[in-house]
Amino acid sequence: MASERISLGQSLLRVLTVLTALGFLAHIWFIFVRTPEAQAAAGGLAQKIFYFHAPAAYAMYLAGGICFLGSAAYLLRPTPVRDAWATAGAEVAVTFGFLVLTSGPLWAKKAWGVYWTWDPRLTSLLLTVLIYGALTLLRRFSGSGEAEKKFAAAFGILGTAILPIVHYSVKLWRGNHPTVIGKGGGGLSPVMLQALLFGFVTMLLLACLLLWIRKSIALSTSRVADAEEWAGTLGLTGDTEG
Amino acid sequence: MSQPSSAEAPATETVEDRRSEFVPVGPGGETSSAEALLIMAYSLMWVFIFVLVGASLSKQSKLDARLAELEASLKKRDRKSSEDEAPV
Repeated sequence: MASERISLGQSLLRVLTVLTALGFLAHIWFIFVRTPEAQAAAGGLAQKIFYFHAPAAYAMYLAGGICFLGSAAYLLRPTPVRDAWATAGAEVAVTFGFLVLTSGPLWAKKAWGVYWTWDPRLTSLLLTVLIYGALTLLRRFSGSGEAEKKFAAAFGILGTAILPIVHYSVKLWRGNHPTVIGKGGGGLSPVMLQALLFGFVTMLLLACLLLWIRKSIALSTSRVADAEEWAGTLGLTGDTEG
Repeated sequence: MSQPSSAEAPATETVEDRRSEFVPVGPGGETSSAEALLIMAYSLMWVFIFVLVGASLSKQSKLDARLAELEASLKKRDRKSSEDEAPV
């Protein structure tokens, strides 16, 4: 039964990997062949960064949400699976945060004339990525005890609490970052909107793929640590060290 | 990015305008190459994603191998101890 579950999981992972790869190839084709170039004020050709920049930010929200749910669930009832989801959520949030923080300045250089400005959204996003980065380092280097895991779970909840501030910072404090999506946004042409929606789908697939892979790694790391501890108490350490 | 359609946006600097369109902060936009910035952004994204996925899959297979090794060792020990306990 367990092996059937593993093979089903592996098959789903393969399907997800293929779908993500095909989705990205089709998305890139759509961006560069079908979508028109934006006005010079929006960065001209550099505006095409937007079609993965904004979806990556939403993928970070999703990963942060998973980190929050995993962390809250772990604090309610600690299990290795819940801890693994919280770990994966934080790691994937850092990944997408990094993508947003590298793509945004490159686009900003063309549209704003500077790579970086201490705009409320940029600053709050940087803070969020630093929190998730600190959480990932904490989980990696602070040991695997129950107290450390609970502290990391509380930290994960704190990190996610900042995400609404990042999202609404444009409306709350009105810095340089414009509103694009939703009420008050300047709007996109229909083809640009399609490219953006396509980007959301592909980034969602990538986020699911990365979350699944990182969750499996976190769970396997925990199982290996338990098995090594068990083997150590039975005096099998010498036989099993590879 | 809000008004990326082909219409030219007026150069305004009010808070309301900053909310709905791009307002330059510095003079670097005119001298920067959009192509170079675009290529750099996409290259960084793809390299980062490929390296991350590749490293993750490699780590997963190493962990699976280690777990299988530990499980085999524990099973071997269980078999050995049950053989020792069996009546002659």
